Amino acid sequence: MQALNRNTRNKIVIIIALVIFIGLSVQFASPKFSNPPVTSNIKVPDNVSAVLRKGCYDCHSNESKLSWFDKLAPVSWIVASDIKEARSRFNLSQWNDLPPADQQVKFWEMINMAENGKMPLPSYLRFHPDAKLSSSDINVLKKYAQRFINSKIGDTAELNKEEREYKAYIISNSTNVKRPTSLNGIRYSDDYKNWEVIAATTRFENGTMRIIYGNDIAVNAIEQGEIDPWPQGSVIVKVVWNMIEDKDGNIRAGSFNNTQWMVKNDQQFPDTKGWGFARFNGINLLPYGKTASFGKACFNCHKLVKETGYVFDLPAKIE
Amino acid sequence: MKFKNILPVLFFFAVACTSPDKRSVFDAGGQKPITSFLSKKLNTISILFGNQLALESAKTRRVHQSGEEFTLVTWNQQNKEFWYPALINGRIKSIEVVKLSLSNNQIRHEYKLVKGAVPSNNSHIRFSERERVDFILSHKASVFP
Repeated sequence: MQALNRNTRNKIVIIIALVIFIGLSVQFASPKFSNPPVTSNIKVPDNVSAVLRKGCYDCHSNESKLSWFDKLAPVSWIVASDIKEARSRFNLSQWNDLPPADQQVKFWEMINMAENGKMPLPSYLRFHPDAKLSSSDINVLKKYAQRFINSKIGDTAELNKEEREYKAYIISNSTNVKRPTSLNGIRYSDDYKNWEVIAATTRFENGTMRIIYGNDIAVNAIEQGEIDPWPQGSVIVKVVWNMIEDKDGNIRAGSFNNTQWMVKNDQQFPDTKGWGFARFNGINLLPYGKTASFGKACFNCHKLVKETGYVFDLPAKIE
Repeated sequence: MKFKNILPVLFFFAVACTSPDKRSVFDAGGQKPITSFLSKKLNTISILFGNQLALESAKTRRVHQSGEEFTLVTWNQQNKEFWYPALINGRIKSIEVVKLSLSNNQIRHEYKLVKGAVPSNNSHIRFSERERVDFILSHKASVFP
């Protein structure tokens, strides 16, 4: 019995030694962390900066402050990969790399990701609970972001643009001969004009208003409540106009901004849960996106609405 | 309680738990959106729908003619779930229909409130039918390239 115990003990010692040896060895393969220079730190008031430093800077900046355990392999591999990905999405230390309009888009994205518990990543918070943003932290960001909402009452430039577009529109025969195709293969079509309207949305933060259409497959899926997942062939089209506001707070659709498309095709778009995204800008409907994978950026926000099959805008539920 | 008595209860809960969230898409009866507008003060958003003749008149701003049919749907705005600070149409507040017909060689406007109450101005004073007809017919079509 004692011999058996000794044998067992020896085995345990060997296993522990092996684990330590492997553990030490992998440290040599651990990625080297570096903080590139801060070129254009985001310029915000101190209270806003404090919130960003608390919840975002460790990954989304060149001032990552890592704990000792973050630097240990194999955790370090995950941390390095997360930081690389985070900096590619937006980098608060290189904030001016983004055009001002995109900076605002990212700021709203930050707020919504934090408010919906997607950021900081839950896996990161498990080991860095201090980074969790409270509702008062998020309110600091929301309050700051109100400065991005500008109501341009009686904006002459917008009124003129709308009138120009309208005049060109009424002399056209309103059948679109252009059928542009997005880089990911989604082709614009006028068919949506015969579909049902599923929702209307208002985005004060970027001064636009939208009517959202669904094709028969999408409308049927909504009415039957079968949208998780949406059936193949569902198509949703948003038509986006810039707002024109009068002094009484009445806002109407002004110049045309873009149409945005979501097309459900699991074979064509496997990386984004079967949804293909496209946007056709301006009255000339110019396809948006520099590479075919631009839809991944769209999908990053649509991940917030997993329970409605990755679609934001739906009619109210029947009570 | 015998086991078989529990079965209907279990069945009810199973159905209740798996029942999909059904939603109703507004049926515009074949009419198409002409334009959309909203009121910050009343927190509403509206879409003006029309038949082909109504669409054409709103687009070309020609004199209105018999056969035009307009439907103005006004919803209360609500916060868009998961995206601050966007708003989305919630419950329908009112549905108004205007039909144009010919009577004694004159265009007759028939106004019908299909749902809700006649809308009010920003001071909560209700518009007259005449004012509503004029308002509904006053819109030009939005650009759909």
